[in-house]
Amino acid sequence: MSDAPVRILVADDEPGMREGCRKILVAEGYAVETAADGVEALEVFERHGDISVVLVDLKMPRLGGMELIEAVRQRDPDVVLLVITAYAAINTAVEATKRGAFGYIPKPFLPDELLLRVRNGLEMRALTIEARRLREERERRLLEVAAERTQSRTIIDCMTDGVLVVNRDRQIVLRNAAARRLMPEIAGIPLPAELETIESAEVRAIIDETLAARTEPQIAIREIPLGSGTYMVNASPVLGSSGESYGAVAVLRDITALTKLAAAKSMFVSMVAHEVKSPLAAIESYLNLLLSGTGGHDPERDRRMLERCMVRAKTLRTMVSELISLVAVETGKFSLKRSPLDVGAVVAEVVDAYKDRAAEKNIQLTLATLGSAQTKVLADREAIRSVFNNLVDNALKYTPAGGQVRVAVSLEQLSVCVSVRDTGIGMSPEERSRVFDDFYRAKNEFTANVPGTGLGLSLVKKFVELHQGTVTVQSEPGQGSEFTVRLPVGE
Amino acid sequence: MDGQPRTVLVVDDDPDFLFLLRELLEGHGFRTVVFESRAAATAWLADHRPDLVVSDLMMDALDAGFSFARWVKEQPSLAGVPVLIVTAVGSALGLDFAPRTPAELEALHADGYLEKPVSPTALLERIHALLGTAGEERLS
Repeated sequence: MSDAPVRILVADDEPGMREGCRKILVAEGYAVETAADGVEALEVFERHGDISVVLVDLKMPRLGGMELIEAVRQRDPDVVLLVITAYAAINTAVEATKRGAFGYIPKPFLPDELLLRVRNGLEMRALTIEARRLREERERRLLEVAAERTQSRTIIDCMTDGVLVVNRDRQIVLRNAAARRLMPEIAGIPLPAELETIESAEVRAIIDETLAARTEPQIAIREIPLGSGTYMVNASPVLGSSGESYGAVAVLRDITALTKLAAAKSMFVSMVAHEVKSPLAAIESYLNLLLSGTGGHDPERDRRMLERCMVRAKTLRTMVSELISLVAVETGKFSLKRSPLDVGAVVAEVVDAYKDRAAEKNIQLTLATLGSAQTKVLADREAIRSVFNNLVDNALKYTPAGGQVRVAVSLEQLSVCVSVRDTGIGMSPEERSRVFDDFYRAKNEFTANVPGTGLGLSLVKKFVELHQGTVTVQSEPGQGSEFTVRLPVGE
Repeated sequence: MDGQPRTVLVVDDDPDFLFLLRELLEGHGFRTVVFESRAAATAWLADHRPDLVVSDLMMDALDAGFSFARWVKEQPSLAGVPVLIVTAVGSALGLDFAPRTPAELEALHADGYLEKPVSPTALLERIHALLGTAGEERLS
C-alpha cells in the first residue's frame, strides 16, 4: 500500500449496512465513501477517480447493482467489485461475477469476512496491475530492442565500407549493402551461407586466417583487388566476454583512388628522376670523353662538346626551377602578387625579347594589338610573363626556319585574349590532348633536337588557371599550332 | 686482322649521345652510322649489315630498345649481329629492366646492357668483347 489510503466506495440503499461497512473499513485504515443508490455511486466514483474497491448491493433504487457493476467496470477495469448479497440472491450474485464482479459476500457477514474479501480483492488487483505493467514493459523493451536492431542494421547498411561477419563454422551471417554490391555472388543468397560462396580467394583467405587465430586475436589488413578496384580488407575476430572467438568480422574499404594517387605520385617521381638523369648522363659522358683525351684534342670539337654540356645544364636548371614552381602551385604555396597589369604591354616586352632569336632562326615574329584594347587585368607580373615567354619560346622552337609566329592581343567581352600562332610542325590529336600534362613532350624526328623539360606548358596552364583564366590549343600535324590564353579583366 | 673498320649502328633519341658515341667510336677506329629513331635505323638495316648495334632503351616507347633488339634478332640478314643496350632509364621508372643473369639478358634479346653515363673505357671494353676483338686495338 502506497502513501495514500486505499479508497473504498460502499453503495447500499440500507443506511445501517452503509454505516456498518464504513466503520469496519475505516478502522482498518481505508478511506471510505458511501452512496445510497447506483446513480449517486457512479457520481462519487467519478468524482474521486481513485476508488479501488466498490462494495455493491445488487438491489438499489434508480441504477441497480448490475448496471452499476457494468458502468464501473467500463470506467476502470482494475477496480475490485464486491457484491453484497443475501443468500436468497446467490444466483444473481453469480451472474454479477460473470459481468465483472470480483466476488460476493453473502449477508449477513462478520467484519473479518468483509475485510478478508477486500484484502483478497486488493491483492488480486495489485497482481493484475503488476502483471500488466511487466507485460507492457516487456513489450516496450522488445520494441526498443527491435528498433535498436533496425537502427544498427540501417547504420551498417549505410556504411560505404563493405561489412562481412562470418561465424566459427565458416558461414556468412551478415553482409551489408556495400558488401552485397562488392560481391554480387553473396547479394541474393539466404543466410547463413558458406564462406566458399565468396568468389575472391583473397577475401576468403584473410577471413580464414582470422578464424584460425582463435586464441590470440589477430587483426589482418591487406590490399586486394576486387571487381575493378583495390580494397583494403581489415579482418578481426569477434570475441565473447571471456575472450572466446565467435567468428570474424571483415571490413572492406575502397582504396582505388588512393592507390591510383600513390601510383601517380611514384610515376611523377620516376619521371623527374629520369628527366634529371638524362641530361646529367649526357653532361657526364661529354666530360668523360673530354677528360679521357679520346680522339685527341681538337679545339673546335672540344668547344662544341662544352657548349652541349652548357645547353643540357641550362635545361636541367630550367627544369629544376619549373619543378619548384609546379610544386608550389600544386601545394597552394605559390602566392600570386596581383596588381593591375597591362597584359598587352607584357606581351609586347616578351615579343621584343625574342626578336633576335626569331631573326637567327629566320622566323617572322609579329605582334598585333586589335583595336585600342584596354588590356588591364589584376595579375602577377612574373607569372604572366612566364606564361607568354613559354608560349613564344615554344612557338619558335617548333617552327622550322622560314616560318611565322604571330602574336595577337584583343579584348573580348570580359577577358583579354592573347593568341600565339605558329606555322610549325603542329600536333596530332593525341599529342594535343596531352600537351598540358607534366613532362609530356611530343617525340618525333623534329622534336628530338628541341631541348625542353616537358613542364613549360603544364606550368602555363597552372599559372593561367590561378588567374581564373583559360588556355586552349588548336593544332593539326603540319599545319602549325595556335595557343589562346584568356584572362578575365579586373575591375 | 684485315684492317677493315668495324661498323657500329647507334640508335638514340638523344642527339648528344649520338654525337658522343660517334666521337668515341670513330676516335677508336670504328665506323659509325647513327639514327635518332628506330624507323630510320630499320630502313637503313634493310640493305646494310653492321657489325654491332648500340641502342637506347626508352625512345618513342618505354621499352623501344628491347623491341628494336628483338626485331634485329629476327632478321635473317642480321643473324649474329650483337645488340648492346645503353640507357639512362635503368630502374628510374620503377620498371627495373636491368638484366641480372645471361638468361635474363637473352630474354631481352640483347647481348649487353650498360647504364648511362658510360665511361669510354667500359663501353669500348664491352664492344670489343661483343665483337670478339678484345685487345685488337692495342695490337693494331
